[in-house]
Amino acid sequence: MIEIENLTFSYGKEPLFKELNLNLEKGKIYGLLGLNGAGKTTLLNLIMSALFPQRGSVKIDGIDSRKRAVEYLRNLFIVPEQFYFSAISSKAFLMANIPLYPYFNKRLFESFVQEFNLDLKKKLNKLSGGQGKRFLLSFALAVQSPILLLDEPTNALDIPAKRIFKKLFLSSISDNSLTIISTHQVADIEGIIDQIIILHKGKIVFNQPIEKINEKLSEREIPTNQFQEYKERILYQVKEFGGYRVILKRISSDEPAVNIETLFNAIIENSEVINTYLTYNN
Amino acid sequence: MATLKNFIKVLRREIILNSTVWIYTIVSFLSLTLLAFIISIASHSGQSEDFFSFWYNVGLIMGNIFVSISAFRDLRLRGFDVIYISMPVSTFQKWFSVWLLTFVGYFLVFTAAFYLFLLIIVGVSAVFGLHIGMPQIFTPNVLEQIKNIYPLINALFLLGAIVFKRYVFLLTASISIGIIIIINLFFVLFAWIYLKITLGGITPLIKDISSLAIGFSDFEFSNNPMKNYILDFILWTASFFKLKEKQLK
Repeated sequence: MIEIENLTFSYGKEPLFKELNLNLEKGKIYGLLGLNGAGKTTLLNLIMSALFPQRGSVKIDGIDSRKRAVEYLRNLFIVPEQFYFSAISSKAFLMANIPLYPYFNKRLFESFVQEFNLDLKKKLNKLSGGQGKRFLLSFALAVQSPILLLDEPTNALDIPAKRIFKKLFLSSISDNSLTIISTHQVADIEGIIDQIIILHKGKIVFNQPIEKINEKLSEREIPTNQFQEYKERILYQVKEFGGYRVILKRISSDEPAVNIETLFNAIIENSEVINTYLTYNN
Repeated sequence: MATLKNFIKVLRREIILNSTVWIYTIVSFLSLTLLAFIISIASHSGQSEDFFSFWYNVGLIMGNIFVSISAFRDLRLRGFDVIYISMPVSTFQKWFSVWLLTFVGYFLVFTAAFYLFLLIIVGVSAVFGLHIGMPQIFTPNVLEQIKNIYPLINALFLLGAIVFKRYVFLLTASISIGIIIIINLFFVLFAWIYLKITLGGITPLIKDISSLAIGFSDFEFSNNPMKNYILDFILWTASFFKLKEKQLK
């Protein structure tokens, strides 16, 4: 559905992405992870056609992003990480924008507003950061666009709102849609995503389905004196108080699944070991 | 058909989201006109023949500046810039809806509001025994301004609204003034070099200053509507292409 081919993009002299390739399929929820400045938001903006590749292309079903064709744009909606509403009422916002999104589900939106406990009487610019986020997330999920991009969707949400977001998100996503969730808060997307993509130093250094990760990898805290026992199976280790936190080659389904945060740290440190293991051990 | 439907949707969006700015703008200029009218009556200075046409002209031109610099507001709102760019309508429809509203729409709405305002003024004045006939708005001077200044203002500030992220009025106005000064300096320099070469010095230039002024008046846009329209067209086209190529860098 989304094909990114040989994408090169830079803000200055140093390229942020150099010949980046990525294919994203419909029916999947992707978690896009990366360090600060890795280019997660830039990648989302390139998909949204808000930025143009300097070389290479971004296409949706064969249509190039540079054209900003209606056929391209009607597939997309984004919730940006930070946004400011203009001084309008929610009623005016909805009246103005709903007709532009053909799949918008008003009933769904109303139920989200209720779940998020939103006060629609206030002008949108008077909403707090968290309330504004809840409003836009409700709108975005109700848009029901084939491709939904969420940039740090849980930033500014309090703990109950994060839980509600997870619930609403999973209840509203259709089987044919494609979602990319870019986030630092990996705990918030656990249990939601189907595939993890890690962006590092201008490249996709990791792109694996959760199913495979859970099947092949496990995570443990092991005391220093047991280290030798696991040594053969260790793919990544980090020293902690009293022992090690390790990612292991999984040998039994009883073993605990790997935590996304630990996996992320492991990939940033050295992506080759885990990638090689996951690729060549089917 | 789908294209027309989409256009109507985006036009409707623009009307809803900009109605407050329009109402404030029109009400402000009508209030200003009313204030000037009351002052003129109170001071017994009487109104000149073109009193209302002058205030109509002010409201039309200045109001269009306000309306134009407020256009494409989403492009200047963090986060909504990307939502606006990716809105599922073509760039031309986005641009054309704004152009239609700010150029044609504002003219029609402000003129209608001004006429309504005049009817009220004439009616209320009659109640107080002050008989003023329905004033003529479209004087030759106003028509000239509508032909020459109104489109230029719209074209210039629409372009500014797309190019600049903030201080749209200030930046557009100062850059435009800067460009005008540079062009004028260029023409003066060109004239000086031309006369120095052909006539052999500055003295003939001073002698021939009247013919020089006549010659160069051709370059003045305001005296030549055709050149003005070309400039408007260039600026409108530039604003469309600027929107088409707009990126969030």
